[in-house]
Amino acid sequence: MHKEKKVIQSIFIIAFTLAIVGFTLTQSLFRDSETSDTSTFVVGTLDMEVLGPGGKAAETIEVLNVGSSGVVSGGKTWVIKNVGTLPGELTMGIESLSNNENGCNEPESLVDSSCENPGTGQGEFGAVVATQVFIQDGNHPDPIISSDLSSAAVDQYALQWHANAGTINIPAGGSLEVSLQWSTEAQNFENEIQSDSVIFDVIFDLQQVLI
Amino acid sequence: MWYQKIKTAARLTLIVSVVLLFAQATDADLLDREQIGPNIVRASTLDFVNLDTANETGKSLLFSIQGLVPTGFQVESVRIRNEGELDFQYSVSVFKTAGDDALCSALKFHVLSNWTTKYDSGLLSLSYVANLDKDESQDLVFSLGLEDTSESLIGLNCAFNLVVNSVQETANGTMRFYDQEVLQSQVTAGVWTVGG
Repeated sequence: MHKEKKVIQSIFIIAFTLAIVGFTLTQSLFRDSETSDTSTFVVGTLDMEVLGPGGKAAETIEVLNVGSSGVVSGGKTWVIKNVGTLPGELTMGIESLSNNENGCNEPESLVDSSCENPGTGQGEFGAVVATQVFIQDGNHPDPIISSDLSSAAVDQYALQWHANAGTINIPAGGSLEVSLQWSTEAQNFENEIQSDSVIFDVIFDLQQVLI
Repeated sequence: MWYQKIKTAARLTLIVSVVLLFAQATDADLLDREQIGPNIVRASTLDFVNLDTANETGKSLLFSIQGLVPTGFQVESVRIRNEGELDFQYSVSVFKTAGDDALCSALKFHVLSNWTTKYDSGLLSLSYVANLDKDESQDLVFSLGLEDTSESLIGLNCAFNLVVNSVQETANGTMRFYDQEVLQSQVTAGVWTVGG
């Protein structure tokens, strides 16, 4: 016990000596110092706004009559503005995706065995809604994301954005247009989608770019 | 005593060092999230029913005639009600399901809508098309009769389905919403003498 104490004391003495020697040997001979009058540390801000085209309020997608004439496709464009003081990296995805059955009328009940209301996850409509996401930055002429809106779409959006968009940085004060187009093809569905709905949130994340 | 304290301090230093080594750098990222939603896309519905015009109960049987003789006829009706969200066009046609072709071909059929004759010809060649808007219903009156006095028709049978069919169509092509309702009928010719 006493011996160990001595060893530890020796280690401390050696370390202290080396520190003194190191500090002394690395001192520069010439020295100058300046003092600034006032130093201010300001934390940068990361803030994003999502607007519609032309500065209008951002709109959600709401199409309630798929199957009536002339309404088989559409889309929305959102303008993502970085209104903070720091650059940010943009990612887009969808969350809270729900394919609802909403019950069955007589024609649907003949071809669909799952007819609960709302029947979350039972709806077949999302699987026949094709969506594409475009970034209007001049560098991405092809869609970043091509996916239906079935339950697998949440993962598909995340995977394809990561794979196809690359790093999308928006500088402070900058903006970027992102559009989501959707369509349904008449030959892709029958009565099984009657009254079905697909509900989802579009998510934009702006993450600080580390410099 | 000192030895224990130093030992504890060394352990803590080791743990912190390992954590920092794997963390590499401390991430203090800022993140902003904006949510656009809920977004809703919903399919519409196409659905109709055949109802009895007297009491609006479901109707699947139309004519049931026993002993039909020349100049004889019977009148029936049906109320077609749109129970879906879409306006649609429907067609009415007849398909023989059983019996004798001779009698089925000899039967005469009339269709009236709003008491206006829409069809007046042979049963099997029936073709009637009409539009039915959302929340609307339409009454059709049918008359089935026999004008042919041929002895060869005596005692013959004819069973047929009157099919009301709707397939949704748009300018972009045929949508795959459809509904079909069937009214079954049965006719048996009676006995008569020709030329007195």
